Amino acid sequence: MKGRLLSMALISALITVGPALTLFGQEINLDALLERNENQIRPTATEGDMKMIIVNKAGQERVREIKAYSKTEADDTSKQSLIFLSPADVRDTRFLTIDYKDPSKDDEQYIYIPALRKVRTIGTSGGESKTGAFLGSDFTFADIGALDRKDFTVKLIGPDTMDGIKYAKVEYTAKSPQVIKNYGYSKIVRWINLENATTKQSEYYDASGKLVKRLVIQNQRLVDGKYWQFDAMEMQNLETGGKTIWQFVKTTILPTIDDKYFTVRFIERGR
Amino acid sequence: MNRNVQHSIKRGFSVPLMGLALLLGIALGAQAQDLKLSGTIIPSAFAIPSQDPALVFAGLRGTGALEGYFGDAVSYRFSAETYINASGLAESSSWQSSTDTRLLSASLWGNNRLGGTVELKEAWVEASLGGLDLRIGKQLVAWGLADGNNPTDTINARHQGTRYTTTLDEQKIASWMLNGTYYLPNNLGTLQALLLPISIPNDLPSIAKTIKGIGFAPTIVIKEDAYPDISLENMEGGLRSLWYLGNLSVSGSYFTYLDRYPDFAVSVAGGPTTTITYTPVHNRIHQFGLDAAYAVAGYDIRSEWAVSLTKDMEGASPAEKNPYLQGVLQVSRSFINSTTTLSLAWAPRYVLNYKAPEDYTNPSDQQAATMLRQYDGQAYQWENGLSLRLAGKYLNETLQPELLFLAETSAKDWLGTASVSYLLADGISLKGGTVQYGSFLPVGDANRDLGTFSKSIDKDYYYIEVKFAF
Repeated sequence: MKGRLLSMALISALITVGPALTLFGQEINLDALLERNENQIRPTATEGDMKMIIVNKAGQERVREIKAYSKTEADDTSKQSLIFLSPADVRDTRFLTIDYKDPSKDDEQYIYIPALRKVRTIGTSGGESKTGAFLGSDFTFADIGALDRKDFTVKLIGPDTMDGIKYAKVEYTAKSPQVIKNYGYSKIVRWINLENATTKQSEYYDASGKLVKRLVIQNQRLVDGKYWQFDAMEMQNLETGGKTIWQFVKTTILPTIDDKYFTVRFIERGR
Repeated sequence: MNRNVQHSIKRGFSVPLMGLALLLGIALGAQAQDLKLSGTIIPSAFAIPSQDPALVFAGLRGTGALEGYFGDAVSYRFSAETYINASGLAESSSWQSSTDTRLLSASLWGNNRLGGTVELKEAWVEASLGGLDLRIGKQLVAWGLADGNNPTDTINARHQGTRYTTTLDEQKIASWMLNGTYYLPNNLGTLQALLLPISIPNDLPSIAKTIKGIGFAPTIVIKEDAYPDISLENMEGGLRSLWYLGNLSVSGSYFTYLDRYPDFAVSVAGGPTTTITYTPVHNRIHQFGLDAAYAVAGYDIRSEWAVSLTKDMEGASPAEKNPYLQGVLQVSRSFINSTTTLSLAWAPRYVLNYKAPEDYTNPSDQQAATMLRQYDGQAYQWENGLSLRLAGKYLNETLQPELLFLAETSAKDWLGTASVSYLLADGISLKGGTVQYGSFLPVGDANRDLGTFSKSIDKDYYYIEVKFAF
């Protein structure tokens, strides 16, 4: 799950042709770096317990407990289900997202809203549109899904160092006003680790070009010698002064998982 | 359903009770897993300033639910709903109790006002067989892809103007049914079939009355509404197919049911003075529905239509509803980082083979049409509802204000609502609001009695509630 969320929320689009640039005295091929970033090894299946901690400017916290399931298909299509367990006002809200590797297929997002007793597709549902807040958090539905590579122009804008680790700053600029509408951002800048190609931090700019949010990955580590995972990701809302911490309490890597967890039936019935 | 009807039902044969016993037997006969308790308690107050006393509701609404499953294939849910109104009960001089074995509810009445009721809201067991889910028992079903206004969502009856509530779930009356849903592969959609052996009409304020004839004018008697008999010919059923096609969702449906609102059977008794008796009856309706939701260029478009074929297809009887088309087209757009949503809607109703009272040749038919058009929702051949809704979700969705204005072009009346809810803490929210009715017609205009909203003009109300969810 940690690897999955990392990839879904953070992995960037590929650049078609990337010139080799020099950072920290070493030659960097942006194409190759982004390819490694996007193609991080992910577990075939996971089951996890999460907490979404919404903190307002005054420091008051609201905690949402979530059960999560994920699956990566052989063709790299990834599926994820989130079930909100508490508090009572969001309990039984369930969310399904399917990201297809095949660029010709549109990704799918569904949400079950208990108050309406209905499943809705995201993007066809007013207040739950992709740029709307994900259940009152500082993440949007678009943040939870993946970016489509063809929607952005990607370029390397320079080096940076955090805690002694070297990063490449990569800028993703929306190609059209429609892309800005779909994602809610005109530009995203990512800090990509030059050694393991994972993303450490992302900054989001609104349609007017103003920096509005910052995502920071916390306590990244290698699991089972091959999966890069992390303990939490923190989305800072620079406009409101609030933030949302998505904490991964427990993640179990499974050899396989039943497809039933990734169906409209599952999010509608809860089993 | 009014109190007298409930008394009559108490004496009746209780199929629902037998059904409940069966469901409980299934539930108790297996070892429960993952038992879950949940519910809400909502202390609230409603006030109608034009009435004396103005405080019309001061009490508690709430639900409690128990759900779980047995193995992978069977799940169940039982929930109860309560509604306790202490307002005015201290002055009550007569107290009565009633039970309703069709709804499985018990109520207490003081001076003919509903003081409290407890109802078994849901009681169902569901079994999964491959891609098919088969749910049997008392349950709620939501049809329609439009927001809020769903012409095809007629499966469950509703409390209409008889309770002070703020949510759709509280309005809906659960029905006994067999509900089969087949999930198509690859999340393509669902096929659903419903069978309702017991018809339950809307719970409406009583219009029963006797108007004494003077001189040559006949005496008019309007009787209380009553539940339709439980019989094979009164069974209801429906089919629906829902498809998820990327940004487009579309569904088609058919539902045959007994009208949730009554028509009237008219009988005339002669003698020294004539008496015309109107007896409410629930005639069969065949409803064909089509609805869709589509996102394009940042707009959210929803539309839902239902054609209802009634008993009086030719429009021959003034006491029976004519066939009609009802629909809604909604366009929404979100602004300010998707925190604020503006929705515009057009909701037309068109009555086929419409006849105005003056179109009837028989004077008694004219009189009946004049009287009944106040109640049957068919006062005009064309009615166009136009609405504007502004809703917000601010401060991480802790603050949610909403404004709605809806006007009807033929009845020339309007409805305005305003509400604000604030999440005080996880599971605790405070909500306040008002519902206002109005008319563009001058005071004294007889047509004011024909509009859905203008006839409620003296019932503007304000409310406040604290919702505890656990």
